Parts: sequence; structure tokens; C-alpha cells
Amino acid sequence: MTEPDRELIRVRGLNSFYGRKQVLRDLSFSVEANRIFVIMGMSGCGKSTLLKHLVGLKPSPPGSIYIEGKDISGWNHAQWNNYWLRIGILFQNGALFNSMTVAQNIALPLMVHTNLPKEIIEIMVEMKLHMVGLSGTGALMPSQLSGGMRKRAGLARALSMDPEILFVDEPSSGLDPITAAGLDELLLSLKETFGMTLVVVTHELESAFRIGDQMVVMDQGRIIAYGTPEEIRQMNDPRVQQFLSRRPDEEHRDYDSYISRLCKVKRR
Amino acid sequence: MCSVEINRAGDDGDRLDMSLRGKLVRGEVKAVMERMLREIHSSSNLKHVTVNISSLEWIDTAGVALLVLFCQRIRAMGGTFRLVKPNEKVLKVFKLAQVEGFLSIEDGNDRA
Repeated sequence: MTEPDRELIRVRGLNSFYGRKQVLRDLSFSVEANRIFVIMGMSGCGKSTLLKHLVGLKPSPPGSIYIEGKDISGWNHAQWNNYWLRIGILFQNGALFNSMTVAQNIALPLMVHTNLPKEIIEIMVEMKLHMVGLSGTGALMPSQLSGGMRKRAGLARALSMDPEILFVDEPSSGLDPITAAGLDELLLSLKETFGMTLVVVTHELESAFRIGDQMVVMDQGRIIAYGTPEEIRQMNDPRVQQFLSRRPDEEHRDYDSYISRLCKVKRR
Repeated sequence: MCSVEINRAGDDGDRLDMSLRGKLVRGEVKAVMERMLREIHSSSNLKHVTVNISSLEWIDTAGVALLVLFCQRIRAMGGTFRLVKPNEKVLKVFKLAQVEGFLSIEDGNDRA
């Protein structure tokens, strides 16, 4: 268990690029231990890219991300391995290995990284499947699961090592409301029971406000709101209010350029 | 670190009282499992096993899996299994894993 209120992750002035295109702009925030930190924002605003930086799948510039006070940009292979053993990651699509059964997918981190006997691992796999509501599916192949089930199997795998920090990308997407609510409950229980720290990327407002202790709202690579759910709700920023009230952009449909593009289509 | 204390009791040694102390977590499970299983396999007339976890500070899901396995083995031998006095934090882990009913968890360790 981690000590509550301790600053676990510090992000300071993070910028990120894909080629010449800047996708994250001067992001700064902190994640405290034993809290659920929610990253919200519209599709394409940079949420998943930010998550990639936090888990080390995308290199970060020096001085921009600190884990427990240490700048991750200078980490060697051993330090990264140590970090990866302490975290769990649920990717957007579940990222299961298609050639393995669901149970084998969940057992894999335990087989590779621990000396646990096979029978203990088998019991742990059943436990994790039960936690995510997938009891009895261990023998199935990922291709036999629905999208929502694959996502939950991915969560079971992310939980296999009882991580200290759990990074979750869009946990409720593709799930029916009842299953999504059950998943929210599970995330809250993991925080409460194991003292786990969770970083959750989502654009599901109801879920975000239900589980989040701290949150950021992102727009076009920038943080436009940062605070507790109550603070975010009370912000007067028009873009934040537009996001929270689910109002569509009015100006994003550039009519003139649309017509111009239509006119460029050559006749056959 | 997790330590195991074991006491044989009963008229013909049919009772085994175990105490777990410390943290029963992933890195400890293999050694603790070997110790516990060796003890039950060395006895031919074991009927009642009580595991006192009042001094167990913390458990993770690997530790829970060990207790589930141990309970299964004892019941398969025709014996009874009781797990007594978990602290609040440990009990929460049992509840999350939904094994508190299966493990016959009790608050007290007094046996009639």
C-alpha cells in the first residue's frame, strides 16, 4: 500500500510532438498517492498520448515528468523495469495476445515476473476474472469475446500483479451502463482496499465525476481545467462548461472550406 | 516478511493451530506455502486446522490465493478449516476477492 497524500507523479511543462505536430502543450499537474486522477477531454485532445508518457511508452523531455521525485527522462533499463513491475496498464483496446486464452493472458505477467507456483497463479487468475465480472471465461480466446469483455479481460491482466499504480485508458467505452457502473465500483474498491493510485483517461462525464478525486480537462493538447470534481463543475471557462454540458462546437464546421473541397473533386 | 508458527494439539494430534505474522505478499507466498503444505502432508490424522491471522498486517491477492489453496487441500483431506481474527484491512481484501464465505472467516479464535 502507498502512503496517502504523497505526491507520486509530478508533471511540469510537458510538451509532446508527433513529428512536427505538437500534441501536448505545457502540461503541469500532480497525482497524489491513493487517489483517482481523471484525465478528461474530447477525442484527439492528447489524453492517450499523455498516458503514454506517464507509463514510459513515449520518451519525455528532461524535467517534465517525475515519479516519486525522480526525473524519468534519465532512467536506465533497470529503473524502467522496476517501475513497470509496480504499475498496471489497461490499453484502450484491451491489448490481449490473440494467440493465448484469456486465462493465459492474465497469468502471463505472473509467470514471467514471479516465482509463484502454478496452482497459486491459477487461483489468482480466477479471482481477477471474477473481480471484472468475467468468471468462467478463462478458456476462451480473445476473438471469442465482445469488445467490452476484451476490455475487462485487459483490466484483469492489468491487475494481475496487484499494481501500486493503475493506468486505465477509457475503461467504460463499449460497455453497457450497468457493466460500466460495476467497473467504476471496482476502481473505487481497488483504491479503498489496496491503497492503489489510479490514473484514468475517459470522456465519460458521469463516470469521471463519480470516481475522480482530482481531474484535468484537456482541449487541443492543453489543460483547460484542473482541480477536484467540485472545483471543475464551478469553473466559468466557456470551453469547460461546453464540455461538461455536452454542447457541440458550432464553429468547427468550416462551411466555406467544405464547399471548396467539394468543388475540387474532379469529374470522372 | 511473513512468519508461520505451528502448534499441534488435540488428543491424537488431530488439531493444527497455525499463526501467520507480518505481510503475506507475493514474494513470501512460495516459502510460506511450502511450510504449510509440508505440515499437513506430514500428518495422517489431521481433522481440524485453524489459521490465526490476528498478527497478519497485510495480504495481497497472491496471499489470498495461498489461503484458498490451503483451505481446499484440507477440505479435500476431509478436514475442517477456520481462518480467525483478520484485521480490517485484510478483511477488505478478502471481501474484494469475494472469498470470505469460502474461507470460513471468524472474528474469534476460541474453539469449543
